[in-house]
Amino acid sequence: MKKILDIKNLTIDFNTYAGRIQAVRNISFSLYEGEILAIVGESGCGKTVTSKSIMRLLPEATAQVNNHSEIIFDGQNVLKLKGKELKKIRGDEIAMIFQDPMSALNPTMKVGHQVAESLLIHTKITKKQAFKEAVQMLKLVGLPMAEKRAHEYPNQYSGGMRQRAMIAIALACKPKILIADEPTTALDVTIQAQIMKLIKTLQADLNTAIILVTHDLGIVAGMADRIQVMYAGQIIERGVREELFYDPQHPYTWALLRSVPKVSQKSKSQLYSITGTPPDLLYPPKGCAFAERCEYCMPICRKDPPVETIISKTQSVNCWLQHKDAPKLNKPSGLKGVIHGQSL
Amino acid sequence: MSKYMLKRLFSMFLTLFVVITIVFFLIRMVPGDPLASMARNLPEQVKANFYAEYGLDKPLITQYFIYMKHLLHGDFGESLVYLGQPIKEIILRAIPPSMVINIHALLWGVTTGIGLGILAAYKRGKWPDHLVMFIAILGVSIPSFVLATALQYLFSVQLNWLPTIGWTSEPGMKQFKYSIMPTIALSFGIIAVYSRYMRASVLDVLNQDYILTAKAKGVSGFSLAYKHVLRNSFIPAITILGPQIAGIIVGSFVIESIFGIPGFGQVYVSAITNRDFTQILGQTVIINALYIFSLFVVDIVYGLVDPRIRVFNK
Amino acid sequence: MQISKADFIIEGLITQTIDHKMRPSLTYGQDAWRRLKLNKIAMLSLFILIILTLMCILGPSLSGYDFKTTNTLQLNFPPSLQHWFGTDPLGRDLFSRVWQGGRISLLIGFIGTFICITVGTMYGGISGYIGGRADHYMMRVIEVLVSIPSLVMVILLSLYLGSGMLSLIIALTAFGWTSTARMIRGQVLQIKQQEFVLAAVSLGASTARIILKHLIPNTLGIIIVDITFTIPGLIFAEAFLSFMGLGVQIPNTSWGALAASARDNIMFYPYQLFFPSLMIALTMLSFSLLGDGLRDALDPKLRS
Repeated sequence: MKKILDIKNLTIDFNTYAGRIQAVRNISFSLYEGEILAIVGESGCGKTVTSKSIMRLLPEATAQVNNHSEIIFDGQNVLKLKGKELKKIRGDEIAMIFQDPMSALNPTMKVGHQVAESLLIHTKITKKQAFKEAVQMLKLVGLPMAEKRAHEYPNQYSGGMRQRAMIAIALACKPKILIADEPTTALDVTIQAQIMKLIKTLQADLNTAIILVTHDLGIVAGMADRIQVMYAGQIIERGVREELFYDPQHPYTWALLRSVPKVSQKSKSQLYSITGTPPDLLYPPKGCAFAERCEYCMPICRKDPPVETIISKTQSVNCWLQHKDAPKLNKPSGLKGVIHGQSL
Repeated sequence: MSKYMLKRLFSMFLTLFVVITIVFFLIRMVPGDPLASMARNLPEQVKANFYAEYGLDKPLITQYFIYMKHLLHGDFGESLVYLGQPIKEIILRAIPPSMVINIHALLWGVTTGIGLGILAAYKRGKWPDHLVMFIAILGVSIPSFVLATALQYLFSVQLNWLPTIGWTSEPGMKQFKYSIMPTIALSFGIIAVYSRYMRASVLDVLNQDYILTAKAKGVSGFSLAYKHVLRNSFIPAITILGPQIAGIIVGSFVIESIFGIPGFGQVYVSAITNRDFTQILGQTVIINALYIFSLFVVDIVYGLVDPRIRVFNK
Repeated sequence: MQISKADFIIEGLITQTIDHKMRPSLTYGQDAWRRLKLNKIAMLSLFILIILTLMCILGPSLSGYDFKTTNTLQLNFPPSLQHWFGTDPLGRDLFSRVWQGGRISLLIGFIGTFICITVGTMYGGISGYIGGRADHYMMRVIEVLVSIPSLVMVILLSLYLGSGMLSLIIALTAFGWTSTARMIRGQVLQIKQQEFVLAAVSLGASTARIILKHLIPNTLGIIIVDITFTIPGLIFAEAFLSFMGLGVQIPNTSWGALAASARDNIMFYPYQLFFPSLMIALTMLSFSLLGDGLRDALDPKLRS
């Protein structure tokens, strides 16, 4: 498979009143043509910051992308692009769907025009044609009565319809990469499944690669080809879907899997939850970031950061438990069942 | 017309009615008799006739009903100071000069203010922002009578470029010269208010998610600014425009007095000093009516430009 | 890097950890103060306001001249070593007069603001907290009051009440509280809807507790900001009334009255207008900038 996006040593800091927050700490990963890559982690782990940085949408006043960071798309470093070149990529080659469809649409512009806008920018067509195509696009994403609805304003739409419109906007120019940042978090559970199914179908039709950012492992189980787990601004484990669900290696991944409710679970048993809170990224710990909350923490974990250990061609993990001197453990029970429990 | 509009219209008239009533009684309770100064030397009988003619001998409540009846017919009564002069005529005479000055000031002030506000928001934290905000704060920090006096001192006394005070009702170069200083004095405050307001509004819109959506589509430069940022940030500015448009007719008490412009404001101030009850009351009613009506218009305009508010379908 | 076998013994969760740096935990007030201190402009404004207040207290006795003693031999003297701000057409020392006037201006600002904020907060708080029909009617009353142009009403009231400090304050505050009331009501309505208040209610917290523990602390920020805008607003309004001859009466004076009377002599003695105007502008400027700084510092959204 062909690599279409290559991220190397991405480091992003935020300058705030309190000081410098290290939101993303030296991460590297690649995206392949037509695949769905999931980035999973709890809020504040840097997953949204990472996805926004690919589109260069971080606030320039406070966010600082380190100089040695590289985001290579189509042979060029996105981080170094200026003006027209950047405009060409945004919306045409890489598109994005945001978390909250309520606030992500312009309230004073008809939805049809909002979809048509990216067509007008990136293709040479007339306004009329663009609007027609926008209506087609709205039909494609399953908006009922698309012809009429295209003339309406976002406030006349329900949450699910707005997210469909967002998807239509994002996919209007048939981008090579779609970044979906928590696309269903703000929606009702029943709508969530519909939207995810829609994204998956369109992805197969258009052969778009997707970066799916989410905290919901249930969604990931049904969709992702590969999964990356992020914690405190770092990627701590990565692998294909089956590896991550059937043979996870990092205690944090274990904890995440155990905290997903399962159909098979006995009604009286308590749902597992991870104790504590993620570290303050104003002062990142010098050892493993998860050490504070890890049930298997060892003295070494607090002293030095773990290095990446290759498990298979596709899986690797950053954990001291992989060290030859570390004790061999039995994984906790309750890891399995997710992949069947909520697959779409 | 929708139910909402009717309701709105009804409450508008109700408010107006309550306000007129309050003002009527407040004014009539002010100590100091309007006829006192001129009737002082008159014989008792003539004095009594005077009072009877103006209805001042009747109980206050009767006076109130008489006044309201006349008001419904568009009759504001006669001046108590300039005998025989209908209030309506005095007011109609005073409106044009106020309008000339205020339209100038509003056009100049609003466009400059909006422009500076947008500039400041886009250059946030850089020197143009600091400069605009300095001007804006200065604009609300210097009393207008001080500014007006300083302008007179500079342009009339020191440089001798413009006439200190005065007015001519004939449009032309002379009128324009008379209007320059009052316009500057008035627009300074307007610029201050609008630049601050627009800056805050634009900054607010720039932080919205839909701006990220637009950027993610590849929208940039002028289209981003016009279609996405400005259109949304103008909407809140409409709120403060309403009362200001009412102000076009009402004029400015201070500025008109200082520059000797025979406008609505100056007439009002002199009515207060002369204790001309009917004049004060008439002008207050007009000010209130304009103010309340402008709020109503703002509501409607808001409903027209902002699709989130559906005034007409409710 | 030295690694020993001992480093690989599973300890699991340790509740008390040693070498873990946390950002210092601050109360809301401490955090706001810390951020305000970083704001140089706001701190400079605060400094200027303190100096102005001190001068108003001490100033009149510094020059050695009484503020109301006239001197026919020293009419309209320009600023000099003898008379630092010069003298007025009656030969009175302007330095003493400016600070004496400042006393009145600031006093009107402070007392008036205290009344406006107290009345406004109570009215708005009650209206917002009770809600429903009472709220509806209370807001109608305010609607009527604000649709009377404030300057007009102030003029009428001061005509009615006559001149003097007390009537001036009554006239200025009679309608000045409405904006505070509206703002507080909005804030209370908003807070009332929030989960933490609903949670407290459902846990059986008393009304008094909810008001004391939730509503007041959460409105304190905007009240403080409102104070910094009300004080200069009142000083300004007093200046306008003085300009129209409705302000403080002689022999007493205020910045507004000084500026207004100096207007007659602007052709020949511009310094007479300059000093009181400068004080008004400085006060307004400092309060506005301090208010802006406080708003930023107290904004919980900016806490980080």
